[in-house]
Amino acid sequence: MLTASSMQKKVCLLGASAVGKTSLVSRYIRGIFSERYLTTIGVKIDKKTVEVDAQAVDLLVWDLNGEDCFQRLSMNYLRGAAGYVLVADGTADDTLDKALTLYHRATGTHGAVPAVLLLNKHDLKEEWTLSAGQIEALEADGWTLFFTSAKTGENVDEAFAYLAAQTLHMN
Amino acid sequence: MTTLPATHPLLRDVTRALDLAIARPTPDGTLALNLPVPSWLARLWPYATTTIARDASLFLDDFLTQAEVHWASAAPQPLWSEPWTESGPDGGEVVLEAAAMTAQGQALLLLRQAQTSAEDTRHVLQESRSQALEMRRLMHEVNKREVLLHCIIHDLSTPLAGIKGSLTLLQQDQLVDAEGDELLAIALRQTERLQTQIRDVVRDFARDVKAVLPTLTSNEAPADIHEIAADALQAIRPIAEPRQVALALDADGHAPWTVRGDAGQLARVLQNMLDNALRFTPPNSTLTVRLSQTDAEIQVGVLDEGPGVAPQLQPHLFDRFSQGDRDAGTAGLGLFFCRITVERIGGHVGYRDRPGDGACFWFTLPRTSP
Repeated sequence: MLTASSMQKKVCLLGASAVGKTSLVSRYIRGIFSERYLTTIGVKIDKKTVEVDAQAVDLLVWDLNGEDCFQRLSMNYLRGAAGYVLVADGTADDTLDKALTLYHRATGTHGAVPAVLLLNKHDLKEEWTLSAGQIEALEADGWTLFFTSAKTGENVDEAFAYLAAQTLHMN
Repeated sequence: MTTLPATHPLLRDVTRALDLAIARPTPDGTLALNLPVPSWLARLWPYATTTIARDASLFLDDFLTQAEVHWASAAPQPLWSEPWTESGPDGGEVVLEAAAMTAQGQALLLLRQAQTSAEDTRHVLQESRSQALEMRRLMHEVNKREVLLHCIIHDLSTPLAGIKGSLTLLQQDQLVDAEGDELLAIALRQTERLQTQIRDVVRDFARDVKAVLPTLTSNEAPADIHEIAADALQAIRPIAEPRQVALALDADGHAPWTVRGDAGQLARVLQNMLDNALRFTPPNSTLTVRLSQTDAEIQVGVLDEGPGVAPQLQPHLFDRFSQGDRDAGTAGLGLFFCRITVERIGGHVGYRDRPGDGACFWFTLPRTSP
């Protein structure tokens, strides 16, 4: 049972639909990947205990529904979040705008918290439409970027670990 | 007003009918369930026969923080959560929503499977249908472009065949000197290279295209089919001669041969049929275009002395992507194009075996009014 003394951090995944948020969570929490696409309704929460600076932290990972013309993301879900994992699909560069838009809406509603930006589907690099110029612009804006692949696991643990550390350092 | 106890049969029947779970927060932090417990709740939390632990659900644990504030305020309206997905021990998932409310001074938590509001349904339907309409419009555009692409490919390949034929004749008849002969060889190689590239495009085109519903625009001014036939035969002469195929136009040159239709498209129809015939007519034979007429229509026949078409292939000769023995190595769109063009003008296309060996591909065209 969770107790008041537990160090808990709520992190929310934000992004357009079908960018791979649920796959990233599945890879991070359960170490598995499936090609099958299953849309998320509302939110599904998973927990993983990680060690940050020799301290155990319960990371509550909120896998939120993606936002598109069919489904809008309620900002109510983000209350109390300690960090955001923004996810964009490198093979669909318009999903980057959606991730950034959601981030600005989230910080506008609930205030700024640490965030990382995952450029996902890096295993399909040859199909990427995200340009080098766009990536350079993100870096120039100060974003912490991770080139991830839920399929191969590339940088998935690293991205969550980095965010977990950032949320702790905000205390 | 009469107060119903939580275990009253009426309340029990209502909660069962609505598939609701009603729980009350207890001082020890658990949620006491009103019976009966819905089947979906028993699947998610099999151990929860009378109570649910607060941390049975990570989402619920989070929501109860807001619920406690809401209960303390004694606000009359329920506080609804956003929907969330809960997994049971069997891996099955249920989408739930919860409401915190106060009734008769009692704090209550309602749990139910998430409902889709009429507004959400309308929104999804609206978007889906708008996208379906847009998709249909795009498909229509794609279809038009696909047919046009085929026409462009055809327009490129036919003169190329003529160029190649002419170059071959020059080379065979030794009409140029040694230096010229070398240049001719280069020109022939480049021509063959271009033909290969066009064949590759045609092959990929035939593989990728899924549906073609043509909506070609045309100029349907009167056209002289005799003149078109003569031109078409002239155009394939450089290809026919190296193969020792004689060309003939069988028609009364003094009769009026005016038809309704776009001259450019009719020329393409005839060229498609001639190209097709030329691939199968044997050396030392004759390829004939025969024109005949009635009061209402003009019939154009392309007659070769090849092996003809197998009976089982004949019904499908003018279908899209038909690739019978006669069409090996082509996109299977040439005769399809002939059919859609002629039918749009008001004519018909067909095939018949010739007595003995040979094939006759024909089409009819309406005559223009006198």
